[in-house]
Amino acid sequence: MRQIQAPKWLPALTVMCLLLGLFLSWELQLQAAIREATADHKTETLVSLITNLEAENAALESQLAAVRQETDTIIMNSSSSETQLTEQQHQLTQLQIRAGLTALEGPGVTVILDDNKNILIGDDPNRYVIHYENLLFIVNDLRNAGAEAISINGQRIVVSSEIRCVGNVILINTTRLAPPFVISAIGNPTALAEAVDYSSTYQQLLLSGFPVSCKATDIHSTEIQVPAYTGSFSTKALTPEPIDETEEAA
Amino acid sequence: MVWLIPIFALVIGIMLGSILSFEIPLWMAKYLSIAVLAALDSVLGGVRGIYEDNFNGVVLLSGFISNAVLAALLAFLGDQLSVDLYMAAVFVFGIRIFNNLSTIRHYIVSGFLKRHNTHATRDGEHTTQRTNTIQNAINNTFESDIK
Repeated sequence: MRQIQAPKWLPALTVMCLLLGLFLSWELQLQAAIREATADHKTETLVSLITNLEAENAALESQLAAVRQETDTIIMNSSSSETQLTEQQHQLTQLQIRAGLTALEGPGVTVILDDNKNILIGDDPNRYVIHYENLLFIVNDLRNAGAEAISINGQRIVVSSEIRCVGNVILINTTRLAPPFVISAIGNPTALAEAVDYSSTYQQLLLSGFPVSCKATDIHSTEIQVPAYTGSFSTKALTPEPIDETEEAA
Repeated sequence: MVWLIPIFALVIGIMLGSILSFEIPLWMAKYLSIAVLAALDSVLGGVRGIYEDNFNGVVLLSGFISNAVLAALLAFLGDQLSVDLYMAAVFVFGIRIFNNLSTIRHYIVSGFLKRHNTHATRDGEHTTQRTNTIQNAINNTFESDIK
């Protein structure tokens, strides 16, 4: 503010201030760009994930249609001998049951898991939702107890089924599922109910105040219904090992 | 009102920066932030130099360039060693900026007090009435602070 001496310092300080403004402006732009880029990256990942899944689904569906067509053709063509046909059809049904391609019913348990709605304000909301691990562990416990067929919210669990977490949804058979999760399992009701009761995941959810329940049916009941697996099995990389008996069932 | 010119320059610099917005690579963020700090440090150092009457434009600009280059080299070395060495530069610039700011504040406040013919005795900053210029009074500011 010493105006008398102004000319002495003015040029250098003006240049300095100009540079400061320039750098400041660039830095602010860059920081904004970084923020934008990180946000974009997240959504891009999710979008590409969804696109991939949809492409995967479409591919699987067309594959499934082809396989079904093929199966029909095989059945039609194998009518050379009546006994052979029934034998093969029986075998086919058995294999389809094992592969999870048929809807089934029988005794078992229904486990219902839902998100905990009583969220404490300020607490981590992640602690109040059902995670994919919860489903996975209970499914494992059910399998361990001899469950013969399992479905979650109408999605049949087959050999190729995944239970995975994408963002804030759970994918099973590449289908997005939302709570409440209803796990239906066919098997010995007592054994299955026991397994769920002893399951640490179930216990933990119960103790944490989640609205979970497990209901076993009567041993002779056909109350539990498990739908067929509607997806397909990827066989892109598969080549069956040559076997002696050229017997093809499915 | 001459001091308004650098402030205008600052605004023009910001505007120029938004006009000349080219695609700045992301890795530049670190170095640019150091450059901003170095420039801010230099500006404040310059203002302080004006008050202390030892302002030298060449020293100021060369100081800015060498500081910025050194800090950038340090940051680069830190990147290679995966140590956040650029934090050291940020730290040093930060301290210098605060020091310069507090010095400038001292000059402004005591200059203001002088002009209004009041003694800052209560604050214990200037216990004796000096006959010299503002600068002389202020040169003792820190010493009296310590005392």
